[in-house]
Amino acid sequence: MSIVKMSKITVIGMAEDKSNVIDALMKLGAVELETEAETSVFTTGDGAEANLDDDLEDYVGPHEFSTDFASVEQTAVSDEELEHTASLDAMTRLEMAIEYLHDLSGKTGKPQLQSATDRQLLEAGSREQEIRKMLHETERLRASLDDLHSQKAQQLGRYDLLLPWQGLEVDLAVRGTARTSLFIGSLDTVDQIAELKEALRQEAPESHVEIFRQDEAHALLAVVVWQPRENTAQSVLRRIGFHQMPLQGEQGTAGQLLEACHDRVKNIDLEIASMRGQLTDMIGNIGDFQLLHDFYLIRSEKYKAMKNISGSRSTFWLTGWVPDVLAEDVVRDLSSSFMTAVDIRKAAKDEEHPILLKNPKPVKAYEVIVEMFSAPSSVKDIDPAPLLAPFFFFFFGMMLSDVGYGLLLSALCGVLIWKVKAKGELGRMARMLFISGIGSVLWGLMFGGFFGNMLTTLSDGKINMPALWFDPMSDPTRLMIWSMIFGVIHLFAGMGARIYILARAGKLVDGLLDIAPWYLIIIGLGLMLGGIGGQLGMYTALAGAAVLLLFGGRDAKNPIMRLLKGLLSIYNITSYFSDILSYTRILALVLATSVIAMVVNLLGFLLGPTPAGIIVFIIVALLGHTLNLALSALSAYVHTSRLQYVEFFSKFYEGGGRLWKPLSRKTKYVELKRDEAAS
Amino acid sequence: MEFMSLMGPVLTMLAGALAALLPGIGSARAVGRVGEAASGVLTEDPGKFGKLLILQALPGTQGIYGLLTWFMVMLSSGMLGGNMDLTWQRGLAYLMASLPIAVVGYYSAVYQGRVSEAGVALVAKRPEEQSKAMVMAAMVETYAILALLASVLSILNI
Repeated sequence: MSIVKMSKITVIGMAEDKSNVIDALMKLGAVELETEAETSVFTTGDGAEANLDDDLEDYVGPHEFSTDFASVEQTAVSDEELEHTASLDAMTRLEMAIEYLHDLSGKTGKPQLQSATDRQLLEAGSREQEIRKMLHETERLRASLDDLHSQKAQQLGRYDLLLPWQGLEVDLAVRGTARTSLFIGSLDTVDQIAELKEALRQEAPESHVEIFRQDEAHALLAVVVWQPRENTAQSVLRRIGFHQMPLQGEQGTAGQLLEACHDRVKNIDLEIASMRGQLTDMIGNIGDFQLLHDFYLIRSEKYKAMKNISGSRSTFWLTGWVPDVLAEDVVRDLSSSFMTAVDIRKAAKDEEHPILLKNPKPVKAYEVIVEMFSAPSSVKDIDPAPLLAPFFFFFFGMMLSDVGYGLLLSALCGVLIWKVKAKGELGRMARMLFISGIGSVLWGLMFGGFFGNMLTTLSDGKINMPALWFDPMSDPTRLMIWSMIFGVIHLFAGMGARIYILARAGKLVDGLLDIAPWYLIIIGLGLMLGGIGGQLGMYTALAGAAVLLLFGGRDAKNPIMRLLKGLLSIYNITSYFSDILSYTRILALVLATSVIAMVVNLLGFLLGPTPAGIIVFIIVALLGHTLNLALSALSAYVHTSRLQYVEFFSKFYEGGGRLWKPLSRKTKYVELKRDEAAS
Repeated sequence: MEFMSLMGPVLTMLAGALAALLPGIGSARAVGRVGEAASGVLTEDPGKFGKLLILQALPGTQGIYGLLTWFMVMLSSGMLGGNMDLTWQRGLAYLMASLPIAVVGYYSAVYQGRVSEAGVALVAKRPEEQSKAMVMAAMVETYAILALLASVLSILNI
């Protein structure tokens, strides 16, 4: 239920073991390496590490560090660098091939995860050449398939061009006779025929126009001109808008060409079918492609880690963070397999280390909310998740208080979690909303909401969903007051956390004098407003204010300044007021959810309980309630988050930490089997 | 006299209409603006659709609050059930009560839209910071919520 304690690990080993040590660390998945910028082994003034410096110099001498170091590192890496860039390229190609083949196989969704053992992955790596040959073959087939498709499109285009000319018994290669030239083509409108004839009669009277076919849209025709007038005739044709047939000049009549075209398309179709067949045979390789992809992925992670590790000609050293509980395992694992010197020391109290949170499952679901704000700082903060989780559950449920909506939301998230097995941020959000949906069901029972007032509407007022507590629509003021009371409890919890943090840092007095009086003031004012307990409220509030007045400015030496500063600290009351008022948004969102649901029911049931009316109701209810659920759940999520971030966190939480990202084997398509994967 | 007896329903109707009208316009403008900005980002990276859609939906709530207020006016005055028997004083009271959400709803939608639009640029560069963009936009919505409460509580007490 807290931030996991971390230890700093320093490993020094032989250069020839470097690669294997990194492999071992990746397999363990328990160490976050510090990058070179953070590593300060040889510059820090810290006692322990300075000693290390001396020791190392004994081994290799200072000389080698300054001169040979760079060159050794460079030549050692450059081969791997080439390999790295090559495998990055191969990874994208593999991804494309996997996606393509997956689509081809007709399966929907994403390519399935396959589980594999370490050995299978390594074995895929050793078959690299063979698998890449298959990849190349897949790409080649795909390229030729694409080529065939474009050839087919081209042939079909020709076919369309030729079709109107079917029946013209002239070889298209004929350009004319000894004395005449022949132009075959079309005009866009029938009117142009007369125009053309007239123009030719005037400028090239020897010409002859033969109409091959005409309809209202356009005309197909052949024009024969006397060769000496060819240029004149051509310019006339151009002016009138005569389109010469693009295929004029090819061997054969239109009919023959059409037939050839038809045969060609048939052949292409056959070829396409065979290509498809060959590609379908390739589908079996998806598994290998996935293995190789993840093999590369792990190798490139490793390469990136290696690049950040310093060393001399014959040694390397690395530092990193490991959770305390895993530290011993890591040390044992490393020292048993390699010749290494491993040093472990616990993080100092005032040392920032990367953050890993450890919480029981229901609270863990809400860590995503914390991380979206900022991971806690290991020095200044406590893990806010256990404190945030119950309040998030409570407020979210209240804002989306509806049994129907809550069930739907949880069901949707349940599908995402267990059926789709959503990973990453989506999966974590689904888990969070799944639990929060249950909260909304509970509050729906309290307020008596099931898709708004659906039961009342459908039964014409005979069946009413009973409210276990009260109906906010009939008594909104009551809900507003309760919203603020719940808000005060929320704020008090945050203030309590602040006092705890101060006490942990040995400043309990500050906590008691600066924070605790506000409990008295707020409770006192609350009692006064509620008219409970007579004068008690006033005295409580005054007592709190007095503490603030006297001690609020205790760092000031001058007594007048001290009182003024104390007075100023009471002015903070405005920020507490606005914080508490901010919780009235709960009422607004409760009303928004239930009123929109009522409107949907009302609109849907306008036709009454007739058969047609029921059908209309089902359609309207489906659309309307889906929309309302989406918008109300979004509002509830956003505004609950806001209450946590702005009102609650401002009382005690700073954030600014960095999440612990251990060096591990990340995979995309392959799920490494548990027994061999990192713990 | 005839005229004054009509004023009640007319003013009530005007109250509801303004409440639904102005925040609705504001939300439409705001959602539109954010949508334009979001589409621009999607040309580069369609994978951000889900995150951007949420940002776009944020300034849409004011329109809903407007509709909610309209409904409350209609329900509380009984006009939803066909009641036309309203005095002009009562009508005027509804009109006044609906002003907070009508005016604040409009402006808060427009300004929330601008924050959301800036949030789109934030998500374009750093998608992991989407929740921060959302909370910043939600800050603006607070005032629409306060205005909604003022309007609704007034209407329920007329």
